[in-house]
Amino acid sequence: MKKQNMVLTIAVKEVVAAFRSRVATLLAFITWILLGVAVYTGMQQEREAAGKKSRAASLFRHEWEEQEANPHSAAHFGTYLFKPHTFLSIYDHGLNRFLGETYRVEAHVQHEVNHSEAETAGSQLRFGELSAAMVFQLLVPLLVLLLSFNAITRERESNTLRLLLIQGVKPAALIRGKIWGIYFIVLLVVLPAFLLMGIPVIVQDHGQDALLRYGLFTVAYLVYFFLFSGIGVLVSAWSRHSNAALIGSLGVWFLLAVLVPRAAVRMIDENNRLPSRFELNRRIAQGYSKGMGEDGTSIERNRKLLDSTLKRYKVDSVQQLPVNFDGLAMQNGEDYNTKVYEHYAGEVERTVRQQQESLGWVSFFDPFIAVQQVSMGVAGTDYHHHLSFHRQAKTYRDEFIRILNMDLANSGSAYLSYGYKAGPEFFKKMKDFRYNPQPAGLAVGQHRWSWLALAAWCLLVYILVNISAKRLTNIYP
Amino acid sequence: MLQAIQLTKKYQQHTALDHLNLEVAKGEIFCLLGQNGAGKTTTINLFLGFTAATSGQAFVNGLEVKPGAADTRKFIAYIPEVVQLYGNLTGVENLDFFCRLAGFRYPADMLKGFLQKAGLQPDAHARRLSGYSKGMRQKVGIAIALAKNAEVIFMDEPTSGLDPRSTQEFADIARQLGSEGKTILMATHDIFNAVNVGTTIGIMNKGVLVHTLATAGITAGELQQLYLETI
Amino acid sequence: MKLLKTIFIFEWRQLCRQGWLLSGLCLFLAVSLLSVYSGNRTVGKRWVQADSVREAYHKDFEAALKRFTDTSTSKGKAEAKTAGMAAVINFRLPQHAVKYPEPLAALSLGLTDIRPWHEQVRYVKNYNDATEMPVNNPMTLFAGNFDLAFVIIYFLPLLVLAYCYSLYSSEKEAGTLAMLAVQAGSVARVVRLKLLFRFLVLAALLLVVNGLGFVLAEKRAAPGVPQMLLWCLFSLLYLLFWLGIAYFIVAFRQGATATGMYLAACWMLVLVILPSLANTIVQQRHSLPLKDEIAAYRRHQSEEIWNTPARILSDSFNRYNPQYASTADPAKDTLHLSTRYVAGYYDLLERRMERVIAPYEREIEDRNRQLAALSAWNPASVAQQWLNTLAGTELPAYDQFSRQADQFQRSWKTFLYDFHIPGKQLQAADLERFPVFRYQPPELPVRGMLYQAFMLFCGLCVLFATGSFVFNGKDQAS
Repeated sequence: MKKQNMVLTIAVKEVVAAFRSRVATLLAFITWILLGVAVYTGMQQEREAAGKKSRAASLFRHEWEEQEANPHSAAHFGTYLFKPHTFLSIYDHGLNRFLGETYRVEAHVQHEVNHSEAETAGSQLRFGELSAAMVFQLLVPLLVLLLSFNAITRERESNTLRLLLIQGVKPAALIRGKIWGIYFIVLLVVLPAFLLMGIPVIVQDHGQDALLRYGLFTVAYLVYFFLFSGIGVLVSAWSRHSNAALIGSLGVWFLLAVLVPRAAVRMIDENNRLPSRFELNRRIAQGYSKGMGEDGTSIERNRKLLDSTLKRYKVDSVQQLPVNFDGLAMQNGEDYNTKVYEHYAGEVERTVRQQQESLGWVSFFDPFIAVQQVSMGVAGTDYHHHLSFHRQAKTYRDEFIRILNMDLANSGSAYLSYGYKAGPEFFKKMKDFRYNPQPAGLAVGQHRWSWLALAAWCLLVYILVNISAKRLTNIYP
Repeated sequence: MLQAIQLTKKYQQHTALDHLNLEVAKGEIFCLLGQNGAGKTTTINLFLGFTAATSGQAFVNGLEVKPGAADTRKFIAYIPEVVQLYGNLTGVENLDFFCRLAGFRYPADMLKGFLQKAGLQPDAHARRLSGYSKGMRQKVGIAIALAKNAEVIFMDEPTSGLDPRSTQEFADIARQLGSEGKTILMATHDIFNAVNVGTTIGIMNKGVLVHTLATAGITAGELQQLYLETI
Repeated sequence: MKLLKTIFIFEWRQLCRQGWLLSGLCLFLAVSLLSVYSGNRTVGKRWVQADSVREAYHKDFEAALKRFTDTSTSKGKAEAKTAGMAAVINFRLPQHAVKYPEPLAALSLGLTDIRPWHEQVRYVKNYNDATEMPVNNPMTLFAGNFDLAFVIIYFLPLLVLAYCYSLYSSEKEAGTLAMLAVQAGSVARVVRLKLLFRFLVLAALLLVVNGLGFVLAEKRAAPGVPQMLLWCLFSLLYLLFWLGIAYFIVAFRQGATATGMYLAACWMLVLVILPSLANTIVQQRHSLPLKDEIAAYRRHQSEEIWNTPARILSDSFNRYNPQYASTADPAKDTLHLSTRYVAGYYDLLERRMERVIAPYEREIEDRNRQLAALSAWNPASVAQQWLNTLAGTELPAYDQFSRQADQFQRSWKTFLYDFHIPGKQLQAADLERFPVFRYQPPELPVRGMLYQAFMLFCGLCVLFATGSFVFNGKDQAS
C-alpha cells in the first residue's frame, strides 16, 4: 500500500512540475497542431481520392453494361477495378503512396495493381508525408524523450536524489514513479487526440470492424508511448549528467526510429532477393509459350485440347463441334496463363511474405518497426491488405473472363467467326466487383510477431527498471 | 545512536577512510572537522548507505547499515551541502512531496508549522523555490528532517556559503534539535561553527579520526590551534 | 593567431580525452561504411540484372541468327524461310534500352529502386509502364534508401548537434566564463574558435568518408572529377548549414540541455516536418490524376480505329508516312488485317494517345515543379536532390532515359518498317546493322548547382552573422 503511494506521489509531482515549466504544454501544443494538419489533409485527400475512384468505377461499369460486342472483344475491352481504402488510412497512409490503386481486367493478360503515386514523384517523397501515424511514430517519441531524459539526472544534479533515497524511496519505485508520471503527461496530451479522432469512426458508422481496428490502433500507440517513456527514464537512470542523458536519448531515438528501420529493411531485401521485372516477364512469357514441366508448348496444349474435345463430342473436325471451339481454346489459354502467373508471381509473393516475416522478427529489436507494422496492419494500408485486394480482383477477373469465353463457346457462332454480338442484357448480368474487406483479427494475425514484440518490449522495460535500480542504490561508487 | 567499528573505505589505491571507530550518543551534536578529502563526507555516505564499506561496520540505532537497505533510513534525515530541491514547486509543495515519500501526509497548516519551526518566514511558504536564497532552501531541508521526525540528522557542510545571520540562525536551530534529543552528525570545516553548535568535535585527517574532544572545555582559539597542528 | 593555436591545442586534447566524442566519430565512420556496403549491394544487384538482360538478348540474337542458316532439319528449313521476316524479328528479338548505374549511384540511390531502368522495345509502342516497373516489396520503398547520402543528410546533423550543443554552456557549467572573458577578451571569440575547430574535425571526417565512398562504391567506370568535387562541395555546405544552425542556437546562451533540445527540434523540423509538409501541401493542391480517362479513351479509340475500314486506315498510314508510299499496293493494303491496315491502326492510335497523354504528363511535371519550388527552401531537400543528381539517380536522369528509350523505339520502328511495310525479308547481315541504344545522361547542371551553392552560402553567411549579432548582443547585456 505504501509502495503504491510512493510511486503515485512521484508520478503526480512529475506531472505538476512538467506543466509548471510549460514543457508539457508546449509538447501538447506542437502535437495537436501537427495532428490537426495531418488529419485534416488526410481526410481531404481521402475524400477526393474516394470520389475520383467511385466516379471512375461507375463510368467503367456503365460503359461495360451499355456495350454491344462480341464477348471476346468485350474481354479485350475489359474493365478497371479500384482499390478502396479503409477509413483508418486517413490516419496511417502506410504504403499507399507506393502501391497501385488500379486493377485492369483484360483478356490474355494477368495484370498487377498498378499506378502508384511514387512512380511519378521525385526523391522528395522519400522524406515522408505528414500523417497522424508519422506524428505518433516519430515525433511523439522524440517529445517523450525530451520530457524524460533528465527525469533522474535532474534529481542527481540537484542532490534531491539523495534526499529521496533518505526518505525511504526504493530506487525501483522512483524509476517507476517517473515512468508513470511521464506517461501520464503523454496520456494527457494524446488521449484527447485519440478521442477526437475516434469520433468520425463512431459517427460515420464504418461498422464494428472499423471500431475494433481503431481500438487496436489506439492500444498499439499507447503501448508504444509507454515504451518510450520507459526508455527515456531508463537512459536517464543510466546517465551521470543531463547532458549525457540528452545525447543518449537522441542517440537511442535516431537508432530506433531512423537508422535501424532503413538499414534492417534494406538488409532483409538483399537477403531475400526479388527478380527483376525483365526476368519475371520473361519467365512468365516463356512459361506460357514453352509450357512448364511436361505441359508442352502452347500449340501442343491447344492441339491436345482440340483432340480431347473432338473425342468428347465424337466428331472429326472443329466445324462439327456443337460449341465454338474458339471460346474453349481461349479459356484453356486463360487457365494456363493463370497457372503460369500464379507460379512465378507466386514466387515473388512468397519472397515478399518472407521479407515481411523477417521484418516481424526484427521488430523484436526495434519497437518502432513493431508499431509501424501493427499500425499499418490495423489501418489496412500494409502489403497484406494490398495482396488481399489483388487476390480478390484477380479471382473476379478470372471468373469474368471465363464467363465471356463460355458465352462465346455456347453462343452457337461458328469457329473463327466474329459476327456474334452480345448486348446490354447479357453484360448487365455480370456481377460488379465488390471488395470484401479483411477482418481486423486477420490483420492482427498477419503482424503477430510485431504485436508480440510490443509486449516483449514492455517486459524488457520492466526488467530493465529493476536492473537499473541497482545503479541508483550505489550513487557514489 | 551512531556507531562505527573499524569502518574503512578504499577507492582503488586511495584510502578514503581508515579504520574509523566512532560513537555518537543520543542528543549529541558531533562535528567532523577536517580539510577537503579528510574523509568526512565518506563517513556520512557510509552511514547513509550511499556507498558500501570496504571493511568494518556502521550502526544506526543499533542496526547495521547495509548499502541501500531501507531499514536504517527510517530513523535518519539528511541535509546535503547544496539543498537544491525542485525550483518549480513551492516550499510547502516540496515539503509535502518529501513527506509523502517518507510515508507521512500532513495537513497544510502542519507543513507550514514545520517550515516555521525550521525558521522559514511565512510569506515564503507559497513561493516557488527558484526564488529562494541558499539559506532558505536549507531551512526547507531542515523542515523535511523535522517532518520526518528523524532520530538522526546528517549534515554535510551545512553552513558553507551562508551569510553570518543565516549561519547563526542555523546554529540556533541545530542546538534546539539537540536539546530535543536528536542526534546530529555534521561535517564541516568551519571551526567556529563547530564550537558554536557541536557538543563533540572529531578532527579528521587523511581518512583517520585523530582527536575526539568535547566542546564544553575548549575555546575556538584553542581548537584552531589543535586543528592546525593536526593537519 | 595565438588564441587560435591555444584553443585548437586544448580542443584537440579535449577531443582525445572524451571517449564519447571519439566514439561518435568512429560510429559515423562505421555507419558510413555500412551504408556504402548496402548501396553497393543494391547497385551490384542492378548490374547483375542488367547483365542478365544483355545475356538473354545475346542468346536470343544467336538463336535468331542461327535460324537463317540452320537448314539441316525440315523444321529448320521451314524456320529459315520466316527467319528474316520483320514481324518475326520484332517478336523474337525485341531490343532493350537499359540505364546502367552511374559511377556514384551506390552512394546515393535516389529513385534507383522505383523507376524503370530497362525498357523492352518493339515496333509498337508500349503504353503500359507497369511492364517495366521494378519488382519491389513496397515496404522497402517506404523505408527509404540506406546509402551514404542518407548518412550525410540525416546522421551528420545529429553528430553536429552532439558536438556543439555544449559549446557555450560547458564553459558556463565549469565556471570558466569569467576567466575566459578576462584572459581572452571575448567569450564569443572563444566560442567561434571552438566552432571552427569542430568544423575542421567534422569536415575532415566527412572528406575521408566521401573519399572512401568514391573508392569503394560499386562501379564500372571512374567517377567524373566534377561529380566528386561537387559532391564534396555540397556535403561540406550541408555540414556548414548545420554548424550555422548550431551556432545560432548556441548564441542564445542557454544551458546545455535547452540548446540540445532546440537543436533536436531543428533536426525534426528540417528533416521530417518541413519536407513532409511540402509533400502533403503538393498532394493536397495537385492530387494525382487517376489515369482513368486515358484508359477509357484508349479502349474506345482502339475499338473505333480497329473497326475503321481497311482502306481508310492504310490511306491514313500512307498520308502520315510518305516514305513508304512508293511500295503501296492498294489491292493488297485495303484487305482486312493487311500489313498497312495493322500499321495504320497502331500509327493512328499512337498519334491519338499522345494527345491525351501529354496533358497528363504536364500535370505531373507541374506537380513535381511545385514540389521542387517548395523544397528549394530546405537545405536538406536541396542537398538530397543534388547528391542524387550527381549519382544520376534523380528524376531528370530517369525522365531523360525514358525519352531516349522512346527515341530508340522510334528508330527501331523505322529500321524494321523499312523491311516490314514493303514486305522485304531481313538478311543475316542486317542483324548487325540494328540501331544500338546508348543512354546519354543529362548534362550536369553545373551552373545551376553552383548558383544554388552560392545562394546557400549567402544564406549561411546571414545565419552566421545573425548568430554573431545575437551572441555579441548578449555579451554586452551580461
